[in-house]
Amino acid sequence: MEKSISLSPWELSRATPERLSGRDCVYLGSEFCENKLPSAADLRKLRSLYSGKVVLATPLLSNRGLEAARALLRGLSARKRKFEVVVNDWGLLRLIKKDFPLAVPLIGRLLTWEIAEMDKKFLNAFCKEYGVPAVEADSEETLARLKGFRGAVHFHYPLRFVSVTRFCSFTKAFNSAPCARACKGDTIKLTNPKALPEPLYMRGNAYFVPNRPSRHRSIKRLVELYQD
Amino acid sequence: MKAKTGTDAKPRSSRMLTTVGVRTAAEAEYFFRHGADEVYCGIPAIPNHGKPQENYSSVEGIHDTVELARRMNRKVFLVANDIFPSADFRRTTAMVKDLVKKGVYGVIIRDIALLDHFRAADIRPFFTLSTLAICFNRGAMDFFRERGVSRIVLPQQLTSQESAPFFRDRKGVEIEIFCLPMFYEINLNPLCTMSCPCSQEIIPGKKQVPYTCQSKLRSPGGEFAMPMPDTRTLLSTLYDLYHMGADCMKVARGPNVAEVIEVFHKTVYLMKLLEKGISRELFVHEGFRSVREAQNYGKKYIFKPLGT
Repeated sequence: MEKSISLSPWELSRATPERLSGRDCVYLGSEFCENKLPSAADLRKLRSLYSGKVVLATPLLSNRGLEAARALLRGLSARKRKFEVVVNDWGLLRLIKKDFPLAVPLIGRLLTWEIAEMDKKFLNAFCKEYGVPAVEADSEETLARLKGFRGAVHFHYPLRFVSVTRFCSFTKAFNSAPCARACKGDTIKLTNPKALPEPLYMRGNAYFVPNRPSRHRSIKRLVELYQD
Repeated sequence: MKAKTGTDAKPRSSRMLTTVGVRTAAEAEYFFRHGADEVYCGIPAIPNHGKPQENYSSVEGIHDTVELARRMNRKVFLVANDIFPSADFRRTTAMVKDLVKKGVYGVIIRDIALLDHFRAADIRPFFTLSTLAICFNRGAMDFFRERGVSRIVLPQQLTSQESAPFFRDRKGVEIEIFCLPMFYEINLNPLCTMSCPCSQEIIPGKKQVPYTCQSKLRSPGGEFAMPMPDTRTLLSTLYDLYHMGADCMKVARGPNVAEVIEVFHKTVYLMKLLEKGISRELFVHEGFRSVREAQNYGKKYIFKPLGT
């Protein structure tokens, strides 16, 4: 079982080598907000802290976000080595297949939610066609739906996503508006006993509830969320 | 956020169509007679995102609607906008094929497995990509176009500027939009598992589970409510999408037909304002006056069939 940790560029700015050491790989970016795509400088900074495998995490993308992701893939491809990219956008998956043979797409949690219940004969053939060896997941429900999927699963904890918006709660604007990363790396607890069966946790433009690492046999990698 | 269409956009050359969700042939006839170009409908046996009360009760009702549309020179779309689970894939796809053979013009889909299945069988109805399929950029639109999609329903949660690339050199793909000031979902519907108007039917007299996205929540910093763009912003975006060349405006189905009728007539009214070529400022002013009481998200899930 591989062990990994995921962090956004904001969290990277506070990370220390000790927090990253001993991991088989480190995820950098976000599966939820395109303003948290790392820059080339962020990738260099991560390499100065951590010498292992880096996985680029990407969210659902607007056209502008897709262009930013394309630039990142160009930079990573220039190293002439295979690299993993978490993909949550059909347009990015298409782009990788077309133009970036060194990128290994991992289907991210948003798209995994979409594909998990699909006809498995189709899904396995589709993943083969697009060179997808694994999917990201964070719930037992998704793992159950994936029954029959031949690839590996990477499981994220200690938070499971339950919703995502494109209208940012911090900036009160769409994700494509200028962003000063006001959300930082904060996890904000939201409660309302009448409306919520359990507290909700807001991180950037996504909402989560707690979960625990799963021991399902399909899981080949555990991905811990970096939190201060 | 305004796109580069300017304050006073040029009048467009073609008329925007209207499509309405219905549950009976009688409803379809009402909307056809009042100007709808298309209707869309489903049945519970074919996976779709609607509650049972938002669907036809039998396949025969869809046959009747197809016949009605043929007589009135209109179109019927079948809504199959959910993932078709593995266990039932063959049976449910066979039902879709049968309805296409019986005259359903198009199929609204979400599942790419369904697209590939039809392509392999060389059956090519007009495929509309549901907004639930999370198509947020031009590359994603091309991904679906290459798999056989002829129309996409643009996600509500895009600004005018973010939407503009969808309309350039779109290689024949039609673009359908929501009437945004009357139908905007705070979170991305297909990726949301919180309590939601789509996940429950309001039954008069029965206590309703509050919708998370419309509830006041407590946070360490005080009261918190999930934000959404204001009505004027949504009207302005609608103005841009119309002038960029959106082909079709959707009126979503619901179990409360009185609500659907109200939203339909307000949608037609907004379209007529747009067709007049009025300025953005006037459209937003007049549109706001007419729709401000119509953000009926949630209320329309009260089950009220036609005639009650």
